[in-house]
Amino acid sequence: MCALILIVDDEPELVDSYARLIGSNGHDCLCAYDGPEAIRLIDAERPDLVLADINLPTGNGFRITQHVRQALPSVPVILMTAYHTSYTAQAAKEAGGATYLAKPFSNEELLEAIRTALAT
Amino acid sequence: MTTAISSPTDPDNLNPRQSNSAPKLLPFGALTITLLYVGLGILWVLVATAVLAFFPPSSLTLNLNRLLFLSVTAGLLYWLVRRYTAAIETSVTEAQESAARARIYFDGAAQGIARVNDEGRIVRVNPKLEEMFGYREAELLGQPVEMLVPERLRKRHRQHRDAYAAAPRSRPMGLGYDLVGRRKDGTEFPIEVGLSYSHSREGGLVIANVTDITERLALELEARRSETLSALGAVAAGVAHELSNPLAIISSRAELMLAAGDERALAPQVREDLQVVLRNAVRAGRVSRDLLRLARQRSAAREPLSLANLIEGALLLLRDQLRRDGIALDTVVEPDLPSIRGERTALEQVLINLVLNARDAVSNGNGTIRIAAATLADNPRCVTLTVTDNGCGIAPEVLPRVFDLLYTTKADGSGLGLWLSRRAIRDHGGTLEVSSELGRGTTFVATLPAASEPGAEKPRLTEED
Repeated sequence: MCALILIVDDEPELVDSYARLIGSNGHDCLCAYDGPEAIRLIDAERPDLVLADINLPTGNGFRITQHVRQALPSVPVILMTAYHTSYTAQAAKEAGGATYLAKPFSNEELLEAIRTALAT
Repeated sequence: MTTAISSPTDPDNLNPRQSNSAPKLLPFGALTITLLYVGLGILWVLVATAVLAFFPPSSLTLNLNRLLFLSVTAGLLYWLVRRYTAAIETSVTEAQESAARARIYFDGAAQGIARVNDEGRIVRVNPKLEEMFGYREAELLGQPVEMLVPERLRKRHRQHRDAYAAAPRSRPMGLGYDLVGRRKDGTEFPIEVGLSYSHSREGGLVIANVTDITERLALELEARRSETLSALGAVAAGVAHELSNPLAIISSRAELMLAAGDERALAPQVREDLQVVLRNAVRAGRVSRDLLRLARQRSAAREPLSLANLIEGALLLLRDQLRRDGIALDTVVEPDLPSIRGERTALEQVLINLVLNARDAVSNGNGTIRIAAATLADNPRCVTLTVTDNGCGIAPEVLPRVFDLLYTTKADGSGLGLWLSRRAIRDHGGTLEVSSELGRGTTFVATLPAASEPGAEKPRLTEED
């Protein structure tokens, strides 16, 4: 199934990598590099899945997740971070995050997490 | 007469001339009393002579005169002696009570106290000093004070003692030096010494107040270590965090290039080179993650922790991953398990590391990882946290080295994980041990002391409750 996936990360080359990977697997991608832009795209384009880094220059992945829960309750969110602790995981869970990925992860791990999230 | 005042370091009243505020026994001095007596006596004689002049002279009146004189004199003498002895009794009682209080202070002092005479010999020690150095007082009395000093320092100590005797005053001893005491069993320990000097009936006395600073130095060392660790951890966290994105880009692009190479034939060397790039990016990623674990070793406030909550916190990060890997997870927590006192993040990292090691070992499709928490069978004041897998096991020649720093058998391992884990457990006063059977599985057991404070953390309800 072809899904519209929003990728949010402040690292443009990383966003590009993920976009190419996800695009090569039959999905369409939107890209955002900070929280406000991500929220604008969520409201305007209504993606099927959001892939967001927790640490952003403005806003953060938790706020994005909360916005998705309010605007698009059925849309899964996958959160990414380098600094993963149980506190971060707990916060992600409480914000409504569906899946939690610790950087750096492989392309296959990302694709598997996307497949699982879209299937639920 | 003055009243002697005893001090905590002078319980036997070695300084009887110390008092400057002794109460007076009589309102007048001795000379005044004598002159007063003479004056009254003269007055008595004149008055008696004048009165007796009205009577015919006889032996009766003369004797009556004498008797009256004696009576008054006796009364006066009685009054004087009575007052004098009462004052002495009061003074003696006060001195005894003061000496008793001083003795209580001396015997109960938190510091060790030693009195040393001008010849450098010990004349008195208090129970704290006995306890500190492991001697009974009888073994120390009359001995040179240098027997409490390591042998290599005795000559210097004698020199310093002589210098002090030449100009004694109250001051700390050995400023700028690390002072060391020597116990009866030969062990040494760091001390601080304060000196004061007093005179006694037997001559000069040096009073040394000795404090064992072993614990204080250990706390200072721990504080310095924590600061260093904290600074190191901050650097490690910063470096690892900044590395994670570039590493993610490298590994992601390498994977994309390899995947694209499947469709357009890549030269074998190019393919191999990309695989090398990818493999090392993954390896660098593990080092980065382990650096972040090191960062989390930073001293944070320790708090009562429930092992059940600790396990749940770690599984928040791992449960999904284990499910994706098809690994069965089993957790068993003993009811009413005592809590432990520790730094939550550090201990969660230990558990995460052990579970990830177990995950790496169980790649045969029937993998099971069991996490158990229980009290130690033969010591209910300790708890155990056990991670067991049914994986490939660890070879006997490798087992003794698994906790070695930078030792790894994995191609992409960092060699930090188990070393950090054991160190974290040791920092919490516990142990981390491993047992394994090749082909059957491995068990890691962390043993930790139970917290003894009230208000220990209660287990939270999990989403399964």
